[in-house]
Amino acid sequence: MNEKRILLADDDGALREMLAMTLEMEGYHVAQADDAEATITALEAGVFDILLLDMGMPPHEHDIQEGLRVLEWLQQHPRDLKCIVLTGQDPERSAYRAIKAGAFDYLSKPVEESALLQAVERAGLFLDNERRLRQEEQTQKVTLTLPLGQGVKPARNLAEEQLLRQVLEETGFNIHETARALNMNRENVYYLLKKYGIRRPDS
Amino acid sequence: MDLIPSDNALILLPFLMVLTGGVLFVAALYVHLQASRLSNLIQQLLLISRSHEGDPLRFIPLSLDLLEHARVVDRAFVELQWFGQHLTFGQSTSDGQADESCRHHAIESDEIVLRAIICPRRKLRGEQVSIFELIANLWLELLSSQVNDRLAQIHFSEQQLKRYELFYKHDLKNLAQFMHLLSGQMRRCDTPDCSHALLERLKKVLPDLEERASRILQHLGKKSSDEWSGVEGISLAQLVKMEGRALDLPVEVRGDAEVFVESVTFQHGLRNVMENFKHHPGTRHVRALIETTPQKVILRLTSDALTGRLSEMERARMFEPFWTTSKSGMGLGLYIARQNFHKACRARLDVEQLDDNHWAFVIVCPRLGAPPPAQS
Repeated sequence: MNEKRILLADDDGALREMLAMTLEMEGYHVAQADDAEATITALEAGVFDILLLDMGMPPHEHDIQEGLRVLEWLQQHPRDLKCIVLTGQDPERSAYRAIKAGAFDYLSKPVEESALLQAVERAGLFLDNERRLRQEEQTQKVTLTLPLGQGVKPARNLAEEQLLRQVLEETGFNIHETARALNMNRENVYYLLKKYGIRRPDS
Repeated sequence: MDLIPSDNALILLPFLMVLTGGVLFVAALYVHLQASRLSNLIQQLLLISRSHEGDPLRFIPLSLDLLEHARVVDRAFVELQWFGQHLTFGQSTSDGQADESCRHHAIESDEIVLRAIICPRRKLRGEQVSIFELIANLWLELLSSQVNDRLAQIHFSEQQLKRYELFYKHDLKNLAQFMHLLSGQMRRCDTPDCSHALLERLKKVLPDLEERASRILQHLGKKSSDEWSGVEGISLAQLVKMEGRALDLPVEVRGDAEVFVESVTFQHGLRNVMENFKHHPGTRHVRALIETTPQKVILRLTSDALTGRLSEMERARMFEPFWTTSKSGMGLGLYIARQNFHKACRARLDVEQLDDNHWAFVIVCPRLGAPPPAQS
């Protein structure tokens, strides 16, 4: 039985219910959100393994900006989850933007049920193995989108920032724990917070 | 030397001063009148431009009336291709007067072509030349702005339509996705509990689904013209009767002809035209008259409700996109119909005055032969 928790973000209530039922029958625990705001609220409040995200949601159902908003929020507030985009938007336009913004997979509506379940399973497999990697080898996988031809400094900074954000999220913004996890002193953590303009979520 | 002025000089000096004063007064009065007339004309031009923003068909005749009374303008003329209608306004300059002193202006787009000319009166001198230049520049600028505003409005409306299309495609894809998942569920549900759960879920989503489905169906009635193809011979009389039945309109048809057309496109155009009868109050039945000549087939559609004498302007308005007198319509029916007829068989949709008090829609279809049989 699958224990993974999935957050379904789609503005179409009927489709959302049907997706939920399909996934629940496979043993997944499913929560639902009908717009970007509700998705972000759910991500803040709960822990999910997979986010199934529609890019076109109110008030911009015909555009990808609401989906991008969620993906950008995830970049700023990294979560230990995989995001699969399931959308009816033009793939030419939206797939590139979604993947650039950190989506793990991209499915274009309408997709066969088997293809959808395979994608969810694949995302779960990657997630499990990345978690195992972290547990067994104390390594954190970081995915970066970097500009070419600007040397390694931007890569170093981006990796540093993303790693810091991830650890901060995991420790609930506990500076002491973060410093310990990253093997640095607290002053250095404060320096990096200032350098990358990272603030406490409640400030 | 006699320094005492003579009597004549004493009389002449005040006279000269009075004369100079008089001349200055007349000159000032002249300047004042010219300025006031110019200012009045400019204000009126701006006023009609503002009150008919983006509507050149109203602005042009009104502004030409004003220019007619401007003393520095001899004549102004506008030639307009307006969504397939040719319109002219003002006095033509074909008598050779359109010389170098005339000002010309042209705008060319896909569906609006404008050529304007404004000529000064002969023998203008001094400040009158400047006044003419000022008025001509202003009028041509306003004219240009009117046409460009209209083009921008149309472009904006087209963008809105595209957005509209995106909305319904979004619905359609979601519905297709729903059906995929539902059919998967149906296949897999082999226990009463599962079937019950599926049914309960379906009950929950049905209202939402129904609303979306009806929204899609509404749009499917307006298919894109890109979808049609296939030339075939059809009986025009039968087609008119069929469309009449579809719209619940009594139709009386006289004559018949077989036309080789892209049938669905043609039918779509015919429906757009006949919908006008449907929405026209007072239509009891539609009369269709089909005539044939060696070169063309002519279909005239009229009813007792199509009364009055149509002006050139009204004709142009009928085929202008997004122009409508109806509160519910978008003003695209006849515009699209004209395009569809052209695409279907290079036919031309127009309106024709039948007599002093009645008019008809007329579709002139060139007689095209049957398409060559497909080669195996």
